[in-house]
Amino acid sequence: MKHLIQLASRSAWNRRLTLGLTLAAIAFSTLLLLGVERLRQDARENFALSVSGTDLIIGARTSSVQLLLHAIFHIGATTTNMRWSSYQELSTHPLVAWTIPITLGDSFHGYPVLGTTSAYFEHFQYGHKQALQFNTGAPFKQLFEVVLGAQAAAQLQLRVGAQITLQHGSGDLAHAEHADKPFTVTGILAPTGTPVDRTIHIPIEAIEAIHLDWQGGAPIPGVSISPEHVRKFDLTPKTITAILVGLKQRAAVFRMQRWVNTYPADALIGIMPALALDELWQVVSVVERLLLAVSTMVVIVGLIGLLAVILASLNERRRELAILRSVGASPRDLFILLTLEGLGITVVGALSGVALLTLLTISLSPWLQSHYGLVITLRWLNMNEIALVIGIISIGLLASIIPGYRAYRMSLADGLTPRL
Amino acid sequence: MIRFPLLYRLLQYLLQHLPQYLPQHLLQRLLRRLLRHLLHHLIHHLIHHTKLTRLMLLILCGGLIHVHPGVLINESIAGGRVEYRVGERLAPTKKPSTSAFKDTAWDDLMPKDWNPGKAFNALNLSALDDADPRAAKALSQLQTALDNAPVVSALNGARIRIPGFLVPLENQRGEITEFLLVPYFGACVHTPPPPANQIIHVFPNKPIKNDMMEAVWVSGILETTRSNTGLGAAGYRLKAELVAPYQR
Repeated sequence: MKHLIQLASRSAWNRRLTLGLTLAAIAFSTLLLLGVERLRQDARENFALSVSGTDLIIGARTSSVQLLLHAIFHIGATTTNMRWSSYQELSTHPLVAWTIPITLGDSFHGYPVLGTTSAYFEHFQYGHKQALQFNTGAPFKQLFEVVLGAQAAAQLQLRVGAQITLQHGSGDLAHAEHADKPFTVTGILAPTGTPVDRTIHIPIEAIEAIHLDWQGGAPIPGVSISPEHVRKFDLTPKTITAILVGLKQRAAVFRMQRWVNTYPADALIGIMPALALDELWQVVSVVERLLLAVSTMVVIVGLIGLLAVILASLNERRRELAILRSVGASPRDLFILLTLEGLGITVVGALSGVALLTLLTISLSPWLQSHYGLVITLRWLNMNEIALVIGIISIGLLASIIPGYRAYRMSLADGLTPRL
Repeated sequence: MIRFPLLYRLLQYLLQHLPQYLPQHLLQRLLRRLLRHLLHHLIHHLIHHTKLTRLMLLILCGGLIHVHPGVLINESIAGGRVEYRVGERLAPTKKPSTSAFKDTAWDDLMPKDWNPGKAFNALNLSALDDADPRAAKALSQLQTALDNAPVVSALNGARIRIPGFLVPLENQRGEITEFLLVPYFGACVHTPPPPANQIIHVFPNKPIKNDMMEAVWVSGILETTRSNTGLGAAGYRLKAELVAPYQR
């Protein structure tokens, strides 16, 4: 057997150009298949790790997925806001342990701005019930202070004590700035791997303060209120976007949700984050399955390419096979030789694909994290991925049997002298 | 030719009565194959051996009759995933538990003397208008009674095994570390919430995989918790030693 392996590898090396190309095809198709699976799993994990310990998310009545995406992931927008009076009544409800009011809508160089209270830094949890930690600094106490997420601070190169001005709306437009009211950075959070890293946190009263001399999305001409005078106004918000709620008894969540959904003074919805995430995955699962099917198709195309190359070369190698027969190789040996060649290319291709995946993960993960907030971890192949690689190799093996069988028949028919 | 309409009628009869005796997916496959076979026969016969007008008439009748059995075949069982209807409860098992855990029904979690609906007993509901304030008052009394549902304190520390529907609370990395168990499907979304003594807050000792497992058997030690809220209502907690999928 060993001599057959040596023979097969020497023979393949002789035709290294064409076989090298098919090896590249198999490597890239394996990379695609494994990469898609890994991205899918990592995206799911990232989403699931973003919220923990929160029993209900309450906001103006909209779909549960939309509220979850907006309140936690800052994707999309809600149609309207909920009243401050609803928040007040909710925070005094006997079943409620803590509440975090949040308001969204402004942005800073593409990073969403979140207006909230100090309860956010006390009660917000992510991952496996982990609380937020500060890398440097402390939570805001004054009106025009801001706390940055780790990613936002690193990308914008801001430190504690820096001054920033916010923009209105969620785009990156240079105009519509609140330039007359600058904010001071008081704290930078430790990295969490969640959308918190890309968020700018300001006190909820500050959202009211910077919009006092605005009307309908633009500053009122001729009116400008300085930061000192702003503090004299009543800055309690009239509307907020959402509330994160923790209950004293987690099993009471259904009753609380019912109370919120039938609250007469405001149109509200209460969602359970885990269930809303499941709904999101149901919607996305069709696309996921489609992606998986396409990747599998690509792998099959790569293997068909391998098959085509080896079969095409078979005709030129009839003399080679005849020489091998004449030095004592049996037709069965030739069968094994050809099969080994195909199998070897497939195995090396699959392993190169895995190596390419590792390389791409190392090089692309910082960019993915900074632009999309998606954390891809470098890790060994799990059982699912190993099963996929074994599947690719076994299909390659089955495909290689075909040229092996043809070589077997050819050498039987040609005998020791091929008729060319 | 006369025998074909008769055969179709026979098929319809079979379709209505056989489903009780055969497994549904086998039945579907069988019937589809039969229908296809018969249809091919019919078409061949009609095209080659019939006059035009009779042919058109027969095609019309055959088309109508063919649509009817197709509508009768039940398409609800898709793949291997079982679909539950809203409000559906799980049937008690045919094989009783052989382990140290005692099979418990959801009714056992309610005290025998607790009757939240007694506000309704005094009313004659059929004589009342929908907007009658007495009906509304009785409904709010019912809601309060459900909110303050008492627990059976004798079950504190009991080792039980109970089936139910799983509502995840903490779901990270595809694993559920905390969930609620409720007696009927759809309790999580639209129907009125179950009373406090029909919800169990479960802590599995090993995180369970979230592969859309909806109905589960949970075995563990039940605890009753005292209420620490002003709104009354204690609750049940369970440290689950075993969580297994529920097979119909």
